[in-house]
Amino acid sequence: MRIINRINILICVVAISMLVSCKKSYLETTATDRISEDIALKTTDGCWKLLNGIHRILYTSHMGRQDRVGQGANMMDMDAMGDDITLSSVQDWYIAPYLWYNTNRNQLSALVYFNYFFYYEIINNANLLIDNVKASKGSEEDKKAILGQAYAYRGWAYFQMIQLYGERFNANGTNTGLGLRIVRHSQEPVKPRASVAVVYNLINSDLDSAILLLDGYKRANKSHLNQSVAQGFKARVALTQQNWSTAATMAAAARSGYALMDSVSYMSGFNDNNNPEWMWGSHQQENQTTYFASFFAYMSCNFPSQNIISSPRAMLDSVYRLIPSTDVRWQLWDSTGANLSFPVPKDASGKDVGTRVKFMQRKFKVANPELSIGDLPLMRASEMYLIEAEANAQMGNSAKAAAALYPLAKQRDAAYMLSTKTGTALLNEISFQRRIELWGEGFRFYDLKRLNQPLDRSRHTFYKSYQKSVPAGDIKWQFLIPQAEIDASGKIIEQNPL
Amino acid sequence: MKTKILSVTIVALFLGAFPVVSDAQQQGPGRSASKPVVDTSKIPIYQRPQKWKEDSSNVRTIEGVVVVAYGAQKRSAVTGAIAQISDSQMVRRPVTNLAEALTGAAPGIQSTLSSGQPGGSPNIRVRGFGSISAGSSPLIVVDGIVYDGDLASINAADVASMSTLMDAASAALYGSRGSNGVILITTKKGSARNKKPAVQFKTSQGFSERMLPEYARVNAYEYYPLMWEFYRNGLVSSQGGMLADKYATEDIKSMLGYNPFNVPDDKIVDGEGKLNPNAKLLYPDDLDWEKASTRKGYRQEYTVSFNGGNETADYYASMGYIGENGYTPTSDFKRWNGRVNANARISSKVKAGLNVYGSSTNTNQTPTSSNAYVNPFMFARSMGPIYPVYAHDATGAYILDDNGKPKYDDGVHTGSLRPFALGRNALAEGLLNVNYLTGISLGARTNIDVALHKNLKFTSNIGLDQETTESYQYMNPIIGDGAPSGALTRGSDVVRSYTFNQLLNYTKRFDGHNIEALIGHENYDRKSSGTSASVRGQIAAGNNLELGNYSTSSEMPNSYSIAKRVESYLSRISYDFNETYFATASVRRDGNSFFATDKRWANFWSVGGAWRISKEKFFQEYVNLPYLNELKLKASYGKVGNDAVGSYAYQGGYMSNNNAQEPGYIYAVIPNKDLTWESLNNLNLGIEFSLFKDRISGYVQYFDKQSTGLVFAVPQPLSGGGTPSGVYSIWQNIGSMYNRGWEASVTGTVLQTKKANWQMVLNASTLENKVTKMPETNKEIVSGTKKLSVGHSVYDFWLISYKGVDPANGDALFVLDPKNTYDDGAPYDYPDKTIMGERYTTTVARAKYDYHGSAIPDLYGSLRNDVRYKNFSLNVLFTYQIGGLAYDGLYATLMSPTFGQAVSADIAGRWKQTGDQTDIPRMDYGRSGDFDGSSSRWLISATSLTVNNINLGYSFEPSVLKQLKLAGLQTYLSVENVYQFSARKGMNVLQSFNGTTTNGFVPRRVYSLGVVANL
Repeated sequence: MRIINRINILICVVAISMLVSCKKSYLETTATDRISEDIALKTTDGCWKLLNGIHRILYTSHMGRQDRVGQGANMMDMDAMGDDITLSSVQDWYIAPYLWYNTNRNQLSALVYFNYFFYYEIINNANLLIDNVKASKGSEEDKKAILGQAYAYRGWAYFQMIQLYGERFNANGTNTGLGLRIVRHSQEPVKPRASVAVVYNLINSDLDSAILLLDGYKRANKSHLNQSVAQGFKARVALTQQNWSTAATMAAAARSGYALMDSVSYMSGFNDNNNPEWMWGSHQQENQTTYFASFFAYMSCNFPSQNIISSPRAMLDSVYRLIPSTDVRWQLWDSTGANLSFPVPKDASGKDVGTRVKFMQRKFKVANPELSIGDLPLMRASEMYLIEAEANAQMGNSAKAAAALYPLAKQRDAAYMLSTKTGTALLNEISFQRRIELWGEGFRFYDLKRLNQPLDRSRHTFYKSYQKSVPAGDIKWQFLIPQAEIDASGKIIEQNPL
Repeated sequence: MKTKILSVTIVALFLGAFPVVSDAQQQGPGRSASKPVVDTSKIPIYQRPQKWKEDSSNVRTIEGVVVVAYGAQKRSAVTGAIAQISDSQMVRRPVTNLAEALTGAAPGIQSTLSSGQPGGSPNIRVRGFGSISAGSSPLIVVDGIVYDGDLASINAADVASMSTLMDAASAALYGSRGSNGVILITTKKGSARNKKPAVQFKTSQGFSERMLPEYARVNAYEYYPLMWEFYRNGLVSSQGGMLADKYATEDIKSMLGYNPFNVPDDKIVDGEGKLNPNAKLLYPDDLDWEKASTRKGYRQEYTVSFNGGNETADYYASMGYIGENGYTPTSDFKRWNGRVNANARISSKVKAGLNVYGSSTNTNQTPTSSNAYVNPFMFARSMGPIYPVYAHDATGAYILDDNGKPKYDDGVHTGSLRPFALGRNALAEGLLNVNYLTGISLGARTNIDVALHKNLKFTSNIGLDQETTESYQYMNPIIGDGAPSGALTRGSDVVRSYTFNQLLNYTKRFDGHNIEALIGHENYDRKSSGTSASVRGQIAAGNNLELGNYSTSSEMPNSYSIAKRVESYLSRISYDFNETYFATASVRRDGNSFFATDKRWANFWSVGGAWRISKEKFFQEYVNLPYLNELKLKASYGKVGNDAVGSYAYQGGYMSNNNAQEPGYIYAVIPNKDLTWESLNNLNLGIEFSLFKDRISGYVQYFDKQSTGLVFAVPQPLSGGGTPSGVYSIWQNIGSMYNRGWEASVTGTVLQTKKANWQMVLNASTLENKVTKMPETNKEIVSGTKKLSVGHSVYDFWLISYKGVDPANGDALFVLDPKNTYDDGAPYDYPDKTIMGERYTTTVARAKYDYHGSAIPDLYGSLRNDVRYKNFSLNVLFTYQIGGLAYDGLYATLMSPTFGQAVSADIAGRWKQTGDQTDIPRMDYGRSGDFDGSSSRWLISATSLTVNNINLGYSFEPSVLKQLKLAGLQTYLSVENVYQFSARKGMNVLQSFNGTTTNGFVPRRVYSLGVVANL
C-alpha cells in the first residue's frame, strides 16, 4: 500500500512538472509580411528601395479599385473633366467626373478622396527619405540622388494637388486662399492648411533643391526622376504661376538631350518608356497589375475591358477638324467611326467586339491585347516645347514662341510652316498644338484652370444631357477636401467653401 | 524560470492542503464506478454515478448536467448564464452547418440567416456586440479544445450537445478569448449500457429553393415610358420642355440600347412618353433572369453510427455524407466525414480516451460579392426588364450556337448595346467559370485521466486540428473578367492548431459541503499559412485548372504565415453547501504572442454565486407555496478579454512594392507597441424558477457587459500618409461601450395527456448597446451608414435627413446643413429652398446629417413549439425581432433609375406633376444622384418574423419495430427557412447585424423527408 502511495506521489511530481510554463521564447512570434522599421532605412540601399517603392506607387491600384490606378487615375480624371475627350457611354467608369457630377464637389466621392490620399501617400514616403537618408550608411553620391528625387516627388505631388484643392494661382493676386497642409517630416503633428502661396513656395524650394541635388545623376531607367524631370516640373509650376520667363528657361533646359519621336513611333501606342522623347514614364510589368487596374484598361483602344468595349475614348470633333491631314496626329482619331484599321477589342475567337464611335482614338494601345499593361507617359519632351512656346507668347516674344513651337509641329507635320502669328492668335495656335499633342495625358483640367478658361461642352453630342458648361472661375473648379481628412484631423483641416 | 518555480510552489502548496495519506487505501484499487455506491459524497466527481439518458441514437448524454469550461456541472449548480441544446433538438433538422442549430436556441443569441450557399454559416452574436473593430464572433470549443476550423466540417449527427457560455463566470476560464461568448460543442460517446452495439442509420432527402422572393420591379411595358420620363426630365433644365420631349423620344432607344418590341426603333415611345399601343414583346418568355439563374436544389444526407461499451471501455463511431446541389446551378456542397471516439479505463486509476475525426469537403460556390457582375443575384436583380437572357435576332427568334443551343446574350452581338453590364452575362459566366474549394479537416482529441488520490485527479488533454483548403478560381476566356485570355488563381491554405493542457482536479465532500478545485496550465499554438498564384493566357481549351497551362503570371505568387501562441494558467474553485448555496471563483492568466512583450500578460477572473431559496427550510415551512418547486437566485461578475484584434499590429514596418524588376518597399504599418486585448467586465444576475411541478419553468436574467480598451483602427489624417489600400489608421485600445439587456425564457407545458403533449418555449431578449468613450482624436468615426460616437449604439444610422418632396416641382428635399447656407438666388445650380419656414437643399453635399434610429431591435427572440400526439410530433421554430431599422440599399438602387437597370415597382408613386403629394421625388436623369442619394429615405422597419423550421415526425409502434427487427424507427418531414415576414417583399432583414442589405446569396428553403432507424 505504501508503494501505491509512492507511485501516487511520483505521478504527482510528473503532473507538476507538466504544469510548469513553457520557455519565454514561446510567445515570441514575428510578422512575416513586412520589413522591419529597424532595418528599412538604415542604409542607402534601403533608401533606394523605398524610392523604388514610390516609383511603383504611380501605377499601383488604390483603394481596392480598378479605376484608381495611381497617377493614371489622376490623368484620366483630368481629361474626363476637360473638354477634349468625349465619353461615349453612360456606363463609363469615368462618367461621374466627366459630368462633374457628385465628384469634385462631393466630399465623400472617390475622386476627391483618391487625389488627396494618393499624393500625400507619396509625400509621406518622400518625407521618410528626407528624414532618414542623411544618416543612412552609404555613399554621398547615392544620398544626393535619393534626396534629390525625394524632393522632386514632394514638390511634384504638392503641385498636382494644389491645383485641385486650392483656388487658381493668380500671379497678380495674393493667393492667400486655403491651400494644403504642409508636411515636411513623417509623423509630424497636424497643422492647419497653409495658403496657396505658401504651398507654391514649398513646391519651388523642393524643386530647386531637387535640381541642385540631381545634377550629374545618371538614372537606371526612365521610371526614376533625374535633373531634366525636375526641371520639367519646375517649368510646369512656373507656367501655372504665370512666371513666364522661368517657365521658358526651365522647359528649354529640361528637354535638352531628348529627341522628338518620328511618325512611326508616334503611331505605336504610347506604351513604351524607351521612346527617346519620353522624359519620365513608369514601366508596367505583366505580373504587377491586377486585371483591369491599369491606365490602359480604360485609355487604350484595344484592350478588351468592358469599359473600352462599350465606351471608347473619342476626340472633340471641333478640335479634330482643325488638324491637317498631313499631320501624323490626324491619324490618331477616326472621324468616321467606321475605319476598320482602328483596332478595337476582340473576343476569344478574334472577332471585333468593341464599339466604334466617331472620333474614337488609337493613340493609346496595348502591345498585347491579353494584357492591360503599358508604360505610363508622365513627361515628354514635346510638352517642354509647348511650355517654352506658350511662355514666350505670353511674354509677347512671338518670334521666340514660334521658333520654340516649330521643331515640334514640323516633326509631327512635314508640311508645317513656321508660325507668323502673334498675340492671341499665336496663343491659340500653341493651345491647339498642346491639345492635340497632349490629348489623354492628363493635362486638360489643369490647363483650363490655370488659364482661367470655361469648360465648354456645347460640341459634345453623344447625349444631350451631357451638355455641361462650367464658367471660368466658378467655385466648381476647386475640389472639396475629403470628409475623412476633416474628421480624422479633428477638424484642424478645414473644408473649402461649399 | 521564475514562473516555473512559482508554479511548482503553488502546486506543492495545493497538494499540502489536503491529506496525502488518504482513505483510498481503505477502498482499494479495484473499485469501479459501476458498483452500486451509497455514499456519493465520498467519491471523486468523475466517478460519481450520473443519471444517463438515452438520446435518439442510444448514445448516452447526461441529464441535468451542463458542459462548462474544462468540465461539466450539474445544472442546479450553475452560477452563470449557460444555454445548452442537445442532440434531440437537432436530430431531425437537415443541418449542413452546425451553427444553424444555434438559431433561436436561447435568449441572448442573435443570428443572421445563413446564405443560400450550401454549407454557408449564419453569423452568431452572444449578448450584443462586444467589439467595434475586433472580432465579435464567439469562441468555438470542441470537446474541450479551442477549434479554429469551419463548423461546416462537423457532422451535426455526431454532436451530443452545444453549450453557449454567456457570462463571465462561465467564460472566464477562456480568459483573453472569452468576451464574445463561448460555444462548447461536445461530441457523442458510446454508452456503457450497450453491450451489444447500437446502430443508427439516418438519412434525409429533399430539395431546396430560394427562400425569399425578389423585390417587386416594373415590367418591360412599363420600363420604356419610365426611362423616357427619367431622361426627359433630365433634359428640361438645359433644353426646355418642348425640346426635352423631342430629344427624349429620339434618343431613348439609344439610351436603352434594346428595342424588345415589334415596332420600329423610333416609334417605341411617342412625344408624350406613352408606349406605342401596338408594341408587343418579341421575346416575352426570355426576360426572367431570376428563373434562368435558379434551379431546384437537391439535398441528401446519410449517417451511419454505432456505439457500445462496457465497464472498461466504450466507443462511438460514425460515417456520414452530405450531398447538396444548391438552387443556383453553380453551387453545391459535398462532405464525407467520420469520427471515432474510444475511451478505456486502463486501470482503476487511469482512464484514457481518443476522439479522432476527419472530413473532406468539396464545394462549388456561386460568386456573391455584392456588386460584381459575376454575381447572378446582383445581375438578375439589376437587369432592366427589357433585356433577354439569350440572344435574339431582329425578329425575336433565338440565335443558336454551333451546337444548336441558344446563345447567351452578352449585350453586344445583337447589334444594339445593352447599357448595363455590356459584354457580360452572369449566367453564362457562371457556367463557364469555376469557383471551387476542396478541403480536408482532420483532428484529434486525446486525454488521460489519472486518479492520484480519491480526491485528486490529474488530466491532460492534447488537441490537434488541421484544416487544409485548396481553392480554384477559373475565369473563362469567352465572356467576363477572364476574357479574352482566360485566367486561373489557385490557392492553398492551412490552419493548424495545437493545444496541450494539464489539469489537476480536487474534489471533497463532507457534511453537506462540496468543494471542487481545478488548476491547470495550457498552451495553444496556431499557425495559418497559405500560398496563391494567378496566371492568365490559357493555352488550350480543357485542363484549365493547372497553372502550367497558361502563358503568363498575372501577379507575383503570394504567401503568408501567421503564428499565434497563447500560454495560460487557470484555476477555478467551486463550493456548495447542501445544494443550496453555491459559489465559484475562477482566474486565468494569459500570455499572448500577438502583443508586445510588456503588454502580453493579463489576468482574467470571475466570481459567482447562487442561492436555491426553494431548498431552504424556512422557505418550505413558512413561505410554503406549493406550486413553486424551484427558485434560485444567481449572480456573477468577472473580467474576460477579446484578442481578435488583428495580427502583429504592434510590429510596424514596410511592405514590398517592387518597381518592375527593382526591389522596393513603402511605408505600411504604423506600430502601436501598447496594443493589447479588449477587456470586458461582465455582470450577470438571474432568477430561475419552476412552477406547478415543472409545468412552467424558466429564467430571467439581466446582463451588463462593460467593454473597455476597445480597439479602434483610429483613422489618421490622410495628409499624414497612407498605403495603396486607401486606409490610414493606427490600432489603438481606445473606447468603451456597454451591452445591457434582459433575457427571459419560459418553458411551459400547454397540454399534457397520455396521448398528447404540447410544450412551448418562449425566448425574449432586449439589448441596449451604447458607446461610452471614443478616441480623443476621433470623437466621431463615420463609416458607411453609421457614425460611432458617445451615447449612440454601434449600429445607429447616421444619414442625411430626407424630408420628402417639394410638391411644386418634385425636387427631393433634404434638411439644409446650416453651416452651408447661402443666399437664395445666388448663381448656384440648385439654390436652397425655404418652405414653411424650414430651410432645405436638394443637393446631398449641402444636406445635414443626423442620427436616425438603430439597426438593433427593441426585442428579439424565438418561439418554439413541440407538439406530440400519439406517435406524431410537430416542432415549429420561429424567430422574431421587434423594432429597429434596416437601411435597404438594394431597394435604394432599384428606386434610383439608371439606364438599363431594373426599377422598383414602387416608382409608380413618384411625383409626376405640380401638386402631387408623395414621398418619391421626380425621376430626373440629371438629379438622380442627389434625389436618390444615400439618406434616411431608405430606412425601413426591421421588425420581422421568421419561420425557421417546421418539422412533422412519426415514430413507429413497437409492434411494427418488432416485425422490422428494429429498436426504433422515425420518419419526418422538415422544412428549414420556411419564410420571413418583413416590411418589404424581397428584403432580407436578417442578412447582417448592421441592418444593411447587399446582393448576397438569398437564403435557401430546404424541404426534406427523413428516416432515423435504430438497430
